[in-house]
Amino acid sequence: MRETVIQAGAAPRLALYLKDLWRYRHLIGVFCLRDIKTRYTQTILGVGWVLLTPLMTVGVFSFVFGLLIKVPSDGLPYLLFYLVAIIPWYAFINTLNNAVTSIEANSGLISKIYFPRLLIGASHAVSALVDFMVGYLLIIGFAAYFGFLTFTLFLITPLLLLIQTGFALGIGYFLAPLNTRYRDVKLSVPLAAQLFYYASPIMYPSSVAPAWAKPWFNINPFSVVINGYRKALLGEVFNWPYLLLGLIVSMIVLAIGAAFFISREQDLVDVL
Amino acid sequence: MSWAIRCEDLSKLYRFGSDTAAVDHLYQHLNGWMRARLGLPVSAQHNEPGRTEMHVVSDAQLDGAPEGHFWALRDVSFEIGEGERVGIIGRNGSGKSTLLKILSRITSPTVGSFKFRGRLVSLLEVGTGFHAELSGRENIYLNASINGMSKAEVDRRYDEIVEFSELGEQIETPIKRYSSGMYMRLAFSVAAYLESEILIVDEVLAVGDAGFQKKCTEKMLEISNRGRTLLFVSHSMDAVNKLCSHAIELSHGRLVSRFKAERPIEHPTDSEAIYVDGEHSGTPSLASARDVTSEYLLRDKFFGAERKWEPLKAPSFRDGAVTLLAVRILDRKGKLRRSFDVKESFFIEYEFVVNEEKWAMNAHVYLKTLEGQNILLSMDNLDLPNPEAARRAGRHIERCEIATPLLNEGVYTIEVVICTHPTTEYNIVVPEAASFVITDDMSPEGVRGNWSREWNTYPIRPRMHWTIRHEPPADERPVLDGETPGVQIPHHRESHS
Repeated sequence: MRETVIQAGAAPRLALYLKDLWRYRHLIGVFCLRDIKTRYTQTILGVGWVLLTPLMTVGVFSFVFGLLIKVPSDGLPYLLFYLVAIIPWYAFINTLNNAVTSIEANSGLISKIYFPRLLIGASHAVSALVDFMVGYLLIIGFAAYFGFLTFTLFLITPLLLLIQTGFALGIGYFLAPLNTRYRDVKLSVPLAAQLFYYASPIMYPSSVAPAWAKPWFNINPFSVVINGYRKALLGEVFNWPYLLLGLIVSMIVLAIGAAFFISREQDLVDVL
Repeated sequence: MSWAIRCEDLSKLYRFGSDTAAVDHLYQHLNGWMRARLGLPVSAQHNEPGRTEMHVVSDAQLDGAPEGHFWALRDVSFEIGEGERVGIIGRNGSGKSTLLKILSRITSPTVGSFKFRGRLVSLLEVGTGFHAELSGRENIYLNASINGMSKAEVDRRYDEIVEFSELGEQIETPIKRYSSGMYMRLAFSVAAYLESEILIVDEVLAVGDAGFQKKCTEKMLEISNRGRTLLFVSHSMDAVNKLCSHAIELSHGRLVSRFKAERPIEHPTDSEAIYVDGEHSGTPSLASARDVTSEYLLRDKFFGAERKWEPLKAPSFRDGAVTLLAVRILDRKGKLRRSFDVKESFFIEYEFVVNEEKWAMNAHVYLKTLEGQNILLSMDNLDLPNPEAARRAGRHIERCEIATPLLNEGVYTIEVVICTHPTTEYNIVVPEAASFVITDDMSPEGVRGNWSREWNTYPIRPRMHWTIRHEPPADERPVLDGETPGVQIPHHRESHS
């Protein structure tokens, strides 16, 4: 029979923890389904909301920055230019926000029952991905309409999703245990997110950035993601080292975040 | 027999007061850090540890704990065999809940380790994770999954669960439309069908006489009979005796005893056969539980029928005017005894010395159940010759009669209070000074009458008077001449002739 050992002080052995994650893996689906089912109950538009929010933003951006200010768009139609930034952004920020508050929001569950808490954040990442896939259909539709649909777009998407999700989850995992003790964390996230929003090439192309700012756009995984989509639509050749760097940074952030989360996980309930 | 759970030196350190006082905590961190940097002595805590009434912490619990912390659990070691049913008992604040949380893996121990074999399901509440917007069916899957069951396992038992819940078609309705009764039925039904080798149940779930809850407890135990290990956490010996084969007792964070509960199912005797009726068959009788309870109580923790103090260690007034010498439980013949039948009256005796004729005072008896529920308060003022006068110096012996019929079966404790009058400025208070047991020999005298089954365990069993009136159906009433059936004709008498 399976034997489980809990030792005070010692960090849980990675192998054991991974085994536990695997044993409870179905919870990701369960939580994710719960979120999706409950998010739009008793709404008329239902899933339409997933599309409406980014469409509004993209429309406003295209009008303000495209028609009025005439921000350069690297040769992409404004709608498409902003769509490939905004759709990933919503997935990113939803994953991040939900991961940060995952412990606090599920305190009822966490104080009554054991399961690897890491799974809550992961389930939010998955449900954000589901939303993303709906938005992705929109991207495909517009890309086809404007004649920018390329095979490389499909090819690169999984990699970009990995970078984006790993990055968001990593930060979220790192902040979640802190948020259980200091709720200031939760309040400061939107502020930091706003700064990050402007610091990422969402409203503008990274090509307009001055030389001193270039390294930032190279190392910021989220700008790697947006540039990746834009390049794919333009059919340009990928700068693989650049993508790889984005992936490495994102995975390091994820590893640090998850390690911190796991080290704090067992005593989270005492500070809730 | 191999073990299912094994704990070694489990200890848990907690902070006093609110652990969520984050700002306070941060301040202390910064304060300590700054002082260390500047070479200043570390200041005393600005906030006194928040000792609330809930935290009755013994000195031993502070021993070796950092400032502002206490040991909620200290060096607890035990082993539970496969298929055993073990009760964990203790009062509020004894560390039960902490142990429960550690064993459920909700929190981790500060020191020590524990291991378990197989799957462990811990029911601290039912319906954990239920979502109001989801249907009954969806919530069954949700709750069972959170408790570690795979979708395939739930699929297999789904029909049984629905049938057991008696919800029928309603299972497709969002549970926010359920009545609270329906909600509980659903929640308990899932709980009853969870599969695991080890089950930890909080008493909140297992005790309770609502029919449906009982059905669920039985279902859980049915699984236990097939070798499931059960851990049942309670502050009631009764409940533990009903469900468990062994019990572990915690007090002030330490394991103070482990003993065998009596299980008449396995060793039935003649006297118990009387109690077993259809409804209670399979559970140990209450009376046997009582015996175990009292035996255990008197052996380990409480002083029995008499508690005496050395003159120098005796509880006394701050000014030394009065010293309590002894508390006794006496039968009608004046002999020390700790066990009485429900039909017997007996005495509680206080012996105290008044060293100085200085204060008017009263002696009080506070009677409580073992669980700490207050039953009654009695004081001697009505029987004192002059209640306002200062007590004369010398030895005083006061007896309070506990009349019958008054108390029900059970274990009771006495809190002794002697205090000045009219202010209670000077006083002696001894909680749990003595304890006694009331038993029931089931004989029909007294309040019981011809009722030969269990008498519920409410603390008192006085004789209540019933007024009984009977009205026969109309057609059985004798019809008199000149009387319309069912209509009373007033007797008319002419007085003036």
